[in-house]
Amino acid sequence: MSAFKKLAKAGSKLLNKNDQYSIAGILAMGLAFLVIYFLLRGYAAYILMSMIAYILFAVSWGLLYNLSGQLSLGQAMPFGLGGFISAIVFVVFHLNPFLCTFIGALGGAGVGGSIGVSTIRLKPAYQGIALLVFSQIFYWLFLFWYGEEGISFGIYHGIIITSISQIFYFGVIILIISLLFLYFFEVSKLGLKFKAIKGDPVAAEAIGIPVIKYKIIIFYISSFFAALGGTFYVLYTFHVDFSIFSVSYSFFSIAMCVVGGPSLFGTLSGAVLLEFLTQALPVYIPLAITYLLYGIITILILRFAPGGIESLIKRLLK
Amino acid sequence: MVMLQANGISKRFGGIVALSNVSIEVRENSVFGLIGPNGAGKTTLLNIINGFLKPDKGDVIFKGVKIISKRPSEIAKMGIGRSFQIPRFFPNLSVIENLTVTGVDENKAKDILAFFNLDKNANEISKSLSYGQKKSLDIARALSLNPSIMLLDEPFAGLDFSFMKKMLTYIENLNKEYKKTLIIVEHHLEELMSITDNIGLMNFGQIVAIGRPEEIKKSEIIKNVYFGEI
Repeated sequence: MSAFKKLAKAGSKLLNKNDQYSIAGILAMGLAFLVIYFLLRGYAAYILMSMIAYILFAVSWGLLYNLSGQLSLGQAMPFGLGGFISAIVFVVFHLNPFLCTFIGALGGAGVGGSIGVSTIRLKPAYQGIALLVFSQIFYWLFLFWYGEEGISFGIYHGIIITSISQIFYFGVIILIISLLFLYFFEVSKLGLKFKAIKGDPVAAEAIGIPVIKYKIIIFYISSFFAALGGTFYVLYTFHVDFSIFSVSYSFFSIAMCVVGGPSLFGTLSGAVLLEFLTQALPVYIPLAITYLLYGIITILILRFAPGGIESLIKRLLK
Repeated sequence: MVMLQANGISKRFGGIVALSNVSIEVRENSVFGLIGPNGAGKTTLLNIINGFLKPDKGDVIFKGVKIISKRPSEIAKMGIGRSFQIPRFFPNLSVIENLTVTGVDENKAKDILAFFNLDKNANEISKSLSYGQKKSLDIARALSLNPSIMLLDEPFAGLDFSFMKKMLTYIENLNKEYKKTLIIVEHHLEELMSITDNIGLMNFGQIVAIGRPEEIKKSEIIKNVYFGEI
């Protein structure tokens, strides 16, 4: 028996059919990104990297809302903090840009998560507004500190710090690892406890789940992935400015989850679809019509498939 | 052996006295009933025992340990299970997941579901259950923690006559088969009196009588509490 068959047999014992399909789906998506990149390159590479950043951003919001019932209307806060921290670390210490990405993600998770944690005792609507306010405070602070031009860091001593190919491969790798982690997190016993908290926090507390502690944990994890998305966004654009904290960024992540659906794969499909519309269509049609389409799709999904694309696919498969 | 004691519990909500110097003692493997009109303080007492509310005065001692400063999740882990007047469960989870989320293994969860006649619904989304089944699931979820004592808040409320009979059987068996100590808050006095060892009668935040069901039933005080001076 070949080593591959042995590995597949061992894998099938450990993983159920759903796990196997999900892993295959995530790997297939990574492969599809690579194939599209090799075939098209150019602007397609930019769209794909943009999708990677927004997938991470959207799943971070979905993690918070769909797994623990917490609402953030200011998810741009950890997204932007991650981006700014990675850029500042690079400009000040001139570390490897990929290392700066992780430092930015951890820093964004630490600062964004800690601020977010201060809101977990609020009811979701108030929590959402509080986080929106926090994100706007950072918008003005970074405008004040770094001006309208922000930080550009692509070139150091006349040399481009890294190639687009390297950034793209790096993005695909962190995307696959992140999605695999999030999938197994969602289907784990811990994930079930988070879903219970969303279902009924009082009943969850009554069965021994320390709700506040779990909400704190999920806030840091969510902030980490938002910040990771932000750092990657900054890495491929080589630039960050105050506008990264804009309200529209926060609402992008929400729209992607709403359009895609509550599960990881739903959010993923929402992020891919909406980011494709935002980035690809303006090449062929006016930007205003793109945003009009964006709005029409969101309204149609909300009206006819409140569970998002995910529920639409499930309905079609039945 | 005394499993749970509430000593001199007092609780105010603003100007309203919800509980005033309430003391009860529940022996191991017994069934203790709490009765009284609406607003007497029965559910408040349960909420204090399982940590959802902190009393202004008094102590709750469970198996010799003071639990008043502990969080509800810690109290649950110590062995106090709880069901609610309006059934609380996890509507986004399947029926069996509502039990396995407590950490109980799947086979044990299936046994508990079979005990409550919910085994056929194990893989259904729990929000699709009937009201009576939801009440059963609420108690089943509390049982899956394998608690020493279970606090059941109005388990018969909202049930039709036939389901009430089933629920009565479940509760009797919780005590006899599963050897659980029970504290039951209830308005259906006949049903409650048939399964309890002791009953505490509450009115205006105080325990006004405590004793065996037949003694409480015969006493004048129960008539006064429920119907006023006759």
